[in-house]
Amino acid sequence: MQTAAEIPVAASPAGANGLADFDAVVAAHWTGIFRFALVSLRDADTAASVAQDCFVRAWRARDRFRGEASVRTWLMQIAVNLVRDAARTKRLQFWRQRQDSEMEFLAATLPDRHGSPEAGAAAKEQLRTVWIAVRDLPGRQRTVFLLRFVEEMDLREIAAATGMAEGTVKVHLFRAVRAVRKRLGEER
Amino acid sequence: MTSHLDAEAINRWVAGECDAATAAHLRDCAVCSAAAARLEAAFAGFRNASGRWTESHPLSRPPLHWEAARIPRRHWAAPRRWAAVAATVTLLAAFPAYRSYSRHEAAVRAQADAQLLQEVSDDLARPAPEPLEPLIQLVSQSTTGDNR
Repeated sequence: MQTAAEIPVAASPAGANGLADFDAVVAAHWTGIFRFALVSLRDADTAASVAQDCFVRAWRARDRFRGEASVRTWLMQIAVNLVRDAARTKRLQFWRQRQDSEMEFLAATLPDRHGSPEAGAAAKEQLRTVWIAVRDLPGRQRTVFLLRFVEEMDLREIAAATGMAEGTVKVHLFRAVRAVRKRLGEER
Repeated sequence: MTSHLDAEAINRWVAGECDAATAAHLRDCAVCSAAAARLEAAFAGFRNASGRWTESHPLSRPPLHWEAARIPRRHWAAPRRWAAVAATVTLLAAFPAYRSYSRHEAAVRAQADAQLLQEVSDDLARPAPEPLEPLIQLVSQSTTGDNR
């Protein structure tokens, strides 16, 4: 059975042009697009702008969608470009406090399910290390890393979403994993 | 088991490149499978944390009415952009006033220049310098009297 993420717009019963269908697309994919933008840019306002822009562009281009990739991959392709543009703009906004988003991330993340305070602190520290390592990755490596490990896309989907060859995706992904693993002290 | 997987092989495995030899090794080697599991757990922790962080934001939920969200682009998401738009509109509105003020100032300056030029030409048109004018009048009066 296909999930909502796998149903191509063109294959939906009312066709690609029905606004009601697009409402369903927005409902099914908004959170995923927002999550990718939020974790990439680490700013909720910008992430919401990216999500909205992504769906506006998708809506305008809906007639050109041929259903070769899943809707999710198609939307993610638009989102990847928007995130890249937003990151360029955001680089100029040096007054933004990176620290704020880090604290927000760590505060929202760990429910109290670790046995001891020590275990909880260790898990939080590990999370913080991954957060910093991902932040410091070069743009393409970070995008590929997030699509693989946060959005759980496979290599082919990542290649389609980023416009890179599958081999290039692998190279960026391996470099990203190596960099994060090194930060975690796992590299032997 | 005499040798372990190198770091790159574990990285590739965790990244999703699954080959039979690595899979077989990980099945048999507790050390390597523990290393791969630790890395996978760290990444899974990051994924779960990202999900919870996303859910903690009200903006993570889709707009109730897509139609309403589609037409006024970004108006609810980035109020700072409106500040930039307002500043631009103010500048554009102020520009004609500035131009009109500049024109008025130029006209006043031109009028003053014309007046000064008129004064200079009036001055040059005198038969004699101003301090000598009474003497000239006296001389012309006496000349008229002599003639009579």
